[in-house]
Amino acid sequence: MPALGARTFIHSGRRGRSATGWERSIEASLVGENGRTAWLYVTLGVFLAALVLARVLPRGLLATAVLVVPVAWTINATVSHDLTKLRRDADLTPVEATVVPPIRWAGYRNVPLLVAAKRLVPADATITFLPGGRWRAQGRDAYLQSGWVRWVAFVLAPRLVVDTPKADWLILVDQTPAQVGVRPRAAWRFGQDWLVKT
Amino acid sequence: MTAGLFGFAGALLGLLPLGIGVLLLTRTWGRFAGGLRIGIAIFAGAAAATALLPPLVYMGLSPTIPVVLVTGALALVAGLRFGSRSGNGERIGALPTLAFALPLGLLAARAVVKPLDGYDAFSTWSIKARFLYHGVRFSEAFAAPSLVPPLSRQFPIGLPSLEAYFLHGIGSANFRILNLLFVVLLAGLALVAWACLRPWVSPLPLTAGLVLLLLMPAARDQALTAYADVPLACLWVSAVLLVGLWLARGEPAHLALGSVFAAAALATKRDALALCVAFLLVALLGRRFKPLAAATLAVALTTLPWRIFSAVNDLHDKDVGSVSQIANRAGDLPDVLDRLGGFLVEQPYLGAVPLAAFAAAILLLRGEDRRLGGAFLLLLGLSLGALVLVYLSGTAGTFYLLRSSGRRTLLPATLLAATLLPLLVTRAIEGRRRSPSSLRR
Repeated sequence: MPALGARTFIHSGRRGRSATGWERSIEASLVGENGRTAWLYVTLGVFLAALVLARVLPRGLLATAVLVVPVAWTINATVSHDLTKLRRDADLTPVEATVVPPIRWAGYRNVPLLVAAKRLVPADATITFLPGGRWRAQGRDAYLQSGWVRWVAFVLAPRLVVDTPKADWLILVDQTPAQVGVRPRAAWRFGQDWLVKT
Repeated sequence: MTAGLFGFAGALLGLLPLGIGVLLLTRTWGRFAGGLRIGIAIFAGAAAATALLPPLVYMGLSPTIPVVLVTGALALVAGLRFGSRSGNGERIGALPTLAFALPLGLLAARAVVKPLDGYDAFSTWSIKARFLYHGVRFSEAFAAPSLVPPLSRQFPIGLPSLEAYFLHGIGSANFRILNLLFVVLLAGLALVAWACLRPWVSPLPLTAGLVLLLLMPAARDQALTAYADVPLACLWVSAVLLVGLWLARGEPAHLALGSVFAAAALATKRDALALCVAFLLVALLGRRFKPLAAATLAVALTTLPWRIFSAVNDLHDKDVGSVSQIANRAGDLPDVLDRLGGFLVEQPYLGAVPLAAFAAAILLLRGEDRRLGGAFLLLLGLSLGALVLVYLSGTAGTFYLLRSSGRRTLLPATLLAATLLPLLVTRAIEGRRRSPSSLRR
C-alpha cells in the first residue's frame, strides 16, 4: 500500500496537483511582449523622482503617485480580466458549474453517471470504485488516487467514497456486474460504466 | 441565488456578537468607530470562529448557526461584563470606503458566479466544508486513513469549519456564493490596515496603497480559488499589523486582538506556524518580553486541541521532509531563490515586495525609522526563508512543488508588503518622523 499523503494523486490532466490555473491567464492579460518588467522600472523611477521632489512638492501627493503607478499600469487589464471571467462563468449551466470536472483527466470522465449518482445514492451511503477493463493494468489503488475520484468524492459528499471493495453502492468502471460477479439490487449503465446498488 | 445571498449576509451578521465580544474582551472596541468598527467586528468574528469552531467539531458539535450564535452570545456577555468600551476610535471616511468598495464589488460579482475548480479546493478544503455542513462526523469522514479522499488529513480545519457555518447561512452547499467569504476576508484586511496605519499615514496615500492591495491581480484571482492561502495571508498580516501597532504604541489591547488573528491563522494552514515564529522572532526585538510571552502562550494553547486530535488520530505530516533532506537538497537553493524572486517581480503582484523592500532599504540607509525598515526587511526575509525551507523539505519534489504552488504560497509575504507599502513609501518620502497628530490636519 503506498504511503498516504506522500503520493497524493495520479496526474494525467493539463494541470498539476495544486496549480490553480490563474497564473498563465492573468499574466497573459497583463504582460505585453516587451512589458515584463518595464512597469516595475517605471514605478521605481517615479519613486526616485518622488524622493528628489520631496523638498518642493507635497509629500503625501508624491507618495500617492508612487502607489498609483502599478495600479494605473494594470487597471485596464485587471478589470478586463475580471469581466471576461465573470461573463464566462455566468454562462455555465448548473451541471457545468457543479458536476462537470474542472480538469480534463484523460479517460476519467463520466458526467451522466455522476449526475445519476447524485440523484440516486442516499446521503448516508458509502460508494466505492471497481475499475476493470482498460484500467485493470493500472491497478485499483492507483485509480482510487486519481484526480477524477477526488472530484467524484467532492461532488457526491456527504456520501462517503471508501477504499474497501465493499460498499452500499459500486461504480464499476469499464466492466459489467456479471464480470465482477456481483448480484445488484439495482443497476444503471452509463457508457462503459455501471452504477450498482448492492 | 437571491435567498443564498441573503443567507450569506445573515451569516455575516451572525458573526457580529462574537466579533463584538472579541473587541470588548480585547479592549479594542473603543479603538475603532462607525463603519470601521462594524467591519472589523465581523472580521474579528470570522477570525475567532476560525479558531474556536474546530475544537467544537472535535467534541461532536457541527459548525452550525446556533453554535456560532451561542458562542457569540457568551463572548458578548463576557465582553460586556469584563471588557472595555472606552477609547478614541479610528474612523474611515466616505471616499476611502467608496475606493475600497469598487474593486471589492467587482470581485464579489466575479465570486458569485465562479465555480469551484481548483484541485486543492475540491480535494482538500471545500470537501471538508461539505462534510462538516452535512453533519458528517469529522473523524468518520476524514480522520481515518484511506486511499481515497479526503487527503491532506493533516491540515487544520479552521477554514472548512468557517465555510460550513456560511453554507448553513446560505442554506445549501453553494460554493459559488461561498466565494464571497474570501472577498470579505480581503476587505477585513483592508479595514484592519486602515485602522492600524491611519495614525501614521494620511488618508490619500493610505487609500491609494490599500486600493493597490485590493486590485492586486494575484490576490484577487487567488482569493477566488477557495484555497487557504489568501485567508491565511489576511489573518496573519492582520496579526502582524496589530502586534506591530502594540510595539509602536504600547497599548496591550492591540496585542490581544493581534493574538486572536494569529490563533486564527494557525487554525487555517500549517504554513502559519513558520510565519508566526518568524514574526515572533522579529517582535522579540521590541523587548517587551512579558506581554509577548503571555500572548505567545495563549496563542500556542489554541493549537492544543488540534495537536491532541491529530496525535490521537495519527495524522502525521507525511509530506514534510527531514532536516537531512533539506541538507541533501541544499544545492537547489540558488534555483529556488531564483524562481521565487522571479515570481515576486511578476506583474500580477504589482511589485509590492520589491517596492516595499526598496522603501525599507531607504529608511535603513538614511538612519531614520531604522526600526521600521529593519523589522520589515527581517520579517520579509524570515518569512521567505521559511518558505524556501518548506520547498527544500517537501517530499513531492522541490521544483514540482514550486511550479504548482510557488505563486500562491508567496501571498502572505506579498500581502504583508502591499499592506505596509503606504507606510514605508510615505516614510521614505517624508524623510523624517512625523507625529500621528500632525497627520490629523
